[in-house]
Amino acid sequence: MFFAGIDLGSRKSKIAVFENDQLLSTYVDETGLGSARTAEMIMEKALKETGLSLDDLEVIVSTGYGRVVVPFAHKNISDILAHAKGSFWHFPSCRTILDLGGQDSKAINIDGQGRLTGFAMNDKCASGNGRFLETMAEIMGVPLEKMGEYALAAQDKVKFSSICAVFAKSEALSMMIKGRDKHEIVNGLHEIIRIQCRKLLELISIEKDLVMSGGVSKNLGVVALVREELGLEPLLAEDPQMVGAVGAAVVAREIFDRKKKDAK
Amino acid sequence: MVTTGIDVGHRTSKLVMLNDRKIIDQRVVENSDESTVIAERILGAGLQAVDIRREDIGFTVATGAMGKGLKFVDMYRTSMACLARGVYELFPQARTIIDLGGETCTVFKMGEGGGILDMQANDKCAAGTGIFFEAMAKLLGVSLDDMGRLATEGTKNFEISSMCVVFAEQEVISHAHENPDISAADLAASLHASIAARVAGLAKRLTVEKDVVLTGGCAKNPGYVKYMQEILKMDVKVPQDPQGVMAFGAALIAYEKGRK
Repeated sequence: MFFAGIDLGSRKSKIAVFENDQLLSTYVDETGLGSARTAEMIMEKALKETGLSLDDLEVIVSTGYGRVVVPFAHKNISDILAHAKGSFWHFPSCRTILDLGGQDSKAINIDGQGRLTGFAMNDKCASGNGRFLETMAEIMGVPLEKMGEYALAAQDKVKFSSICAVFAKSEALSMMIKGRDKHEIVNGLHEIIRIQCRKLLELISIEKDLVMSGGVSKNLGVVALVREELGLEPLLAEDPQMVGAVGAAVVAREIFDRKKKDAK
Repeated sequence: MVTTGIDVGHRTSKLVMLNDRKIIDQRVVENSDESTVIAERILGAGLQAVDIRREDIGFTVATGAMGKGLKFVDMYRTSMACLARGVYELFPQARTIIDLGGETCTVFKMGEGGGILDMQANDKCAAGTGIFFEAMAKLLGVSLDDMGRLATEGTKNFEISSMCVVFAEQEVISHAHENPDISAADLAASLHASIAARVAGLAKRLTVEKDVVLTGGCAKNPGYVKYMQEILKMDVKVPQDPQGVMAFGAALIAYEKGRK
């Protein structure tokens, strides 16, 4: 049996295809403007890679910002549920999730059965999110995937006077003009991410194990600061960005199982 | 006696030169260099315009967020002190002053003698500051002046839910995509109403009492002024040069100090 989860995020769109309990294939692309078209496009790619047709997929579940526009989804679920399900599928020992996405960040608590017990969210302020990192990487001329390395290699860090994404951008620019070391500037920007993570984590209870998900969690500088902040080792899926889509696929399988049970 | 006030702000710098309390020169420049260079440049331009030498100036007061540490001035005074002094000179009846600058929003209450009674400020986040207008004008592809005028012509037909400048940009883009027929005037009106609501929210943490005076570069924007009146449900006063009030106050303080 095949299932799919689609996560149409604010910046990236992801799809995960499952064969029974196993992750079979994943695909990720830019979200762009047309969410429905993006959904169709990534579905096509995933089908091509697995050699399946749309009819082979028993249940499709969508999540993320664009979850309501996915034309072929049987059901849509919240990002929070998707990340809870996805993290629990990867790591059954998971009790706390820190999901750092393109435009919002969430901290989530789950119990031993993977059920939601609490969450906190920041979607009001762009400071410290994925888009913030993207913008900063661009003006600094550092590849996005190298931002973490730059922070980790720094001897020191510059102090930003404000955590605001808009102000930090102009501050970073003027520091560059003054000739400050890029590594130290990038490290200072990671401090802003630390402040934002701290604010969010204070709102939930920190229980082992902690799973980090979302695109920003691919950044090892951010992982290091969470480790330092909490004094525990965050668990990371092979592809942290895919956790929401995996969670949606897990829910798709659950829906199928329930239907089968009801039919008996 | 000639006295000078120099206000080095986040985005622009302002100069006011007085001869015995009468304005003889006033000017604004964009900040394109570090504070000392900008201050020297704007002072040089002022001196040239009224054709006097630096030695002819009796007293100079610097102010503004970036005006600290200028070597050639006689004194630094805080933004609040200079703004209050300037407003009191122009509007002695002013009780609530709302200053919307490039990167800060400050609201304060003024007593009968011109003293500062209470204040609220946002300098932590770009939401609800002048930078928001700049970003939006860029997005609409119009000048700041044109955007302010457009806002007075349009009707407000949506609210921006996120005040974070980064998110607001995207919200405006998606509004424009969803309603391709929406006019630039309606977009501008909606933007201005949203920011006015945010600024008024800060002001309402204090009691808003008449007379209300709007200062700072943003008060040159008629769309902002219109929606502030609408949201506060009262008329507001705007100085002829709202951007220069702080420098004007600094120059008045310079006169009072220099005379002693």
